[in-house]
Amino acid sequence: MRTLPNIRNFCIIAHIDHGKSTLADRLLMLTHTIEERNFQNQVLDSMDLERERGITIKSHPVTMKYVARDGVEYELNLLDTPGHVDFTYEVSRSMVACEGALLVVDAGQGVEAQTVANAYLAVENNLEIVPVINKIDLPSANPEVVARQIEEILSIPAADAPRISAKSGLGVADLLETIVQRLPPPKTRDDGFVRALVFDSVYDAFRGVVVYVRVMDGELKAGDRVDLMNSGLSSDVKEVGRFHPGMEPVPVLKTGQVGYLIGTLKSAGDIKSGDTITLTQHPAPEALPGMREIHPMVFSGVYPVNTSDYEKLKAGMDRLRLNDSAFTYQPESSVALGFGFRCGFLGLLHLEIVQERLRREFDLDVISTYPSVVYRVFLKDGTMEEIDNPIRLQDPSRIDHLEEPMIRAYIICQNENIGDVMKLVMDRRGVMDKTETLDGQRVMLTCTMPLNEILIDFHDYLKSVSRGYASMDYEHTGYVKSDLVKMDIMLNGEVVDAFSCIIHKDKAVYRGRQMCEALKDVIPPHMFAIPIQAAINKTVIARETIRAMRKDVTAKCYGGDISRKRKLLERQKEGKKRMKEIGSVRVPQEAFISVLKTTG
Amino acid sequence: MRASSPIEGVYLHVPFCDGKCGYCAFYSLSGRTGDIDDYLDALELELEAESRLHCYRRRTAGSKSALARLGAGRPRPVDAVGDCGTSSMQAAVSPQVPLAPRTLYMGGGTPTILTVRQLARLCAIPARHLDLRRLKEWTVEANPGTLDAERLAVLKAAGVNRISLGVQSLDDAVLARLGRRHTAAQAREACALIRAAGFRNWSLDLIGCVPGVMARQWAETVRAAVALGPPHMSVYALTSEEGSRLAGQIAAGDAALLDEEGQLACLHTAEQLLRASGLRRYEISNYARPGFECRHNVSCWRGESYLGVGCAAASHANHSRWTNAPDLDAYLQAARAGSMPPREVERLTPETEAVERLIFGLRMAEGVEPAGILAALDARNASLPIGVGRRRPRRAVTGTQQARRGEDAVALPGGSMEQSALGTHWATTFARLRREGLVRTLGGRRVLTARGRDLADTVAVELMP
Repeated sequence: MRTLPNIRNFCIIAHIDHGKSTLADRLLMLTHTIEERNFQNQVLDSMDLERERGITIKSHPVTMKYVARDGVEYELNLLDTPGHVDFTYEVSRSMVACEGALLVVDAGQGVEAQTVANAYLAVENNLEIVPVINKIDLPSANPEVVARQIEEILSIPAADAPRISAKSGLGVADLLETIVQRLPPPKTRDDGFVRALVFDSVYDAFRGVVVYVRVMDGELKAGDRVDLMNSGLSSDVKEVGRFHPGMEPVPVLKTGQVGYLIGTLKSAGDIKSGDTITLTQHPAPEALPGMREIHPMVFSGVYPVNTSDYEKLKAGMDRLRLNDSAFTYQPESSVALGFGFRCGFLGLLHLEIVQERLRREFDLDVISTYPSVVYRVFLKDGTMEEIDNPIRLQDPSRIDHLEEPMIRAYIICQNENIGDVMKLVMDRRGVMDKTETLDGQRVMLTCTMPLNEILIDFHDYLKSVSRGYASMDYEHTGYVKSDLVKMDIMLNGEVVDAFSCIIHKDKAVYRGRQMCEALKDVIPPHMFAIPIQAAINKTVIARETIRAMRKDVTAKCYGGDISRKRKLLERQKEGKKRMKEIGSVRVPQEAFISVLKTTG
Repeated sequence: MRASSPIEGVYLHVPFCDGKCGYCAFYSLSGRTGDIDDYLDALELELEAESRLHCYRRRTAGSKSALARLGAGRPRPVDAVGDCGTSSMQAAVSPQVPLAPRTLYMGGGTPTILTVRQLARLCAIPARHLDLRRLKEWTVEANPGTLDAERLAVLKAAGVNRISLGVQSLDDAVLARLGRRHTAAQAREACALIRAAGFRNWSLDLIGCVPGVMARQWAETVRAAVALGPPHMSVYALTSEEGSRLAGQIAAGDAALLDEEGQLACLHTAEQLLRASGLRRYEISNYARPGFECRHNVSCWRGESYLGVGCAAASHANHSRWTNAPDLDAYLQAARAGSMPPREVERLTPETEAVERLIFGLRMAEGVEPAGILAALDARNASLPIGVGRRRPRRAVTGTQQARRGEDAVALPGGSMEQSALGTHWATTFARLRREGLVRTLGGRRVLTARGRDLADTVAVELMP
């Protein structure tokens, strides 16, 4: 093994709003990777949506040149990573291309749930972790306490953790020295073979697929013919380059470096992150250890409000998929909603972001069905099938039992809210595994919960019972047997498949009532009475009725009022047209959202 | 080719009142009585210009250059009515046909707050610019407290033959709550005066569904109104009209309307009592003894043409609707400048016109004949070049097919409705509305059922394309 002493590959991990993007911006400026005059906040968050919501969705690598105090020029490759739990896979993808991580913690807020989850992820990936205490210039900053939390909760030495203010730049120059001194340089096997790790890919409308690589062994250059060892694809290399932070071609991507490769590949969907690139002429005998494959965890049907927008929706999804390999979709149809797609997401935030992007970037109005996780259905004949759509659940007489996916959740909250948070967890069928004191004010609860219990509104409730203070992150822990049933909602006697859900038996009556009440409030009265029923296996467990409308306005309507009256009626008509006709019932779009909201 | 229908009614608006009622969102002004004389001048100028334009329109084929010649004296916005002529004027051949309405209506506001002299001036205006030989009905709106024998004599002498009296309630407490400025006694007195002045045809307005009014109290009011002997009554539900004081109070949470059940009970009570006394419900909110229906309003609901003159007045003619700006100063200003008042114009597409005829016609007991409306729509479409408010046929049809279809529709009124997209929509919707008990069929006509009358707006929305 040979060490490459002048290169450092690292990522920054942090809880949301602890200053990750600000620190990245500051590093870029100090190393003159970007000039102050070209500066825009959150340089690496290139999507509008990322800047607006203050979150990072995609990874963005960037290469910086830094002349250290020892006079040596170092090449620093920063792989910016998303902070949210839904995008954990993006974080871990970036981590495999790194040797070290800066763990940024807000000096006022202290260790939060994502700090914990991301630190565990970094440990799993064998990264050297340097804790960094940020925002030390805030009046509420308490770096001593935060350092102690890092040591106690995460078992990472933090006595000499750099204390900085990314916003003012305080301590960031020293941090660059720390990066050089404490993060390990990459190593290479130097066995004469070329191995480059694919850690991401994006689709560029003009240039085709851009593959993000970390060269582990050997070198890559334009003109090479390469193989992707796991997928079996091969390609000519048309260009290699680096991120400064924009893409800049270079003659050669050298050992240990991070950069990109443009080949003759057509679809980003063909490229799997974790694949190994090697030379076709002189292929490496074995691939690099791959990375965990990503599986969508949350599924929902996505349908156009206007049935005529189906093709447009398909085109939009094709485009999104090019840059978001974690998003999956396949055509499905619903009795209630017509033609649409079954989509897989990493989590609810991911779902929300995809919907928002469809709306903004493709001008599409969509309806999503009740989200579902993937259930395992064990049939009496001994076979097992996985279903991501309640509609596909077999007749109960054929089912032996069901299993549902579980998570281990880390929740950090104030001491005084612990009772409420524990109650919330237990209401959601959670079990407390561990309670740890963080400092005088906060505790960390570790608990096991079914994933389907946090799908809809758990985060909202957690925030509300903790008055905004609690934070949460989770990891998947596999499947357990569970007493689950399929609940249908019937409107005017007809099952509306879009509202069907799989739910724990003990919660069905309560949830059924909630859904019926919610629908009663948003579906306007029709000319006939509409029964709304929740049913399990055709047995009604809850019912509401929307009474028939009996009278509308009787105002004056003389000559002068006719056009006014007509316009009023035209507006009503427009409103009705925006509703979805399900059987004989017109259902407004809000109905599909309202069933997701609960009342405690 | 189908000419636009002749103007059947003329409306003159008097926007002055002695106060503003809480529920009112009409354009009316109190404290501007000093402007009445100027206003009457302006009103006459507009009527004169409109009637000259009308004569002109009837006489010529309406080319733009000819319009411009006329406009030299009295400029009017070309898009108002002017350019409607291109397709519809060719059939108008008779020379020198002046505006000869069948009905005249003077509403407000409160026309009777004018002084006796001003009222006489107002009533003298129509005869100077209109041919009144066809006139069958001349209505003037009046409010109790502003009506006396002298004014009634002026009206009678001018030829007015119908009075519409805004009674609203015969309960002093309710009148005060509504913001009316007269008492029940004054209302009774006004009714007696109307009869004494020799008016056989008169109408009494009531407002129902006032929150806090007990069912028995309301029934008493209706009975008392019937006892006053009007051959015509209008009964409205109190509604929250945008821009009214009441709407503001409701928005602020200081007032509420009666709930659905209460409104239904109230209006059903009125219907029963009025029917029992021989007043037939000939429109959603209008009742009359046979032969005493308001011709002016029936004509509007049937989609016939009418001309509205005055500040804030609305008109419907030549496939357009226009409304003068609700701004007294701008109206007076325009008259001083010798120009037409500022107005908002809406050109009606053939389809919109057909839909209007259907949904407003359906509000009447006589109902509508969809096949006839569709035939008129086809005829108007056939006279329009594609692109001028006319849609291309949705299905591809050959020329012969289209011609045959058109013939069928005209030749067989009451035949199949399913010849156009609109016709298909109406046919399926009417079938459903009939199943739901909202509409019934009478030969080729469609008529609202009792339940359909309660849900007339919903029925209308369903029938809109």
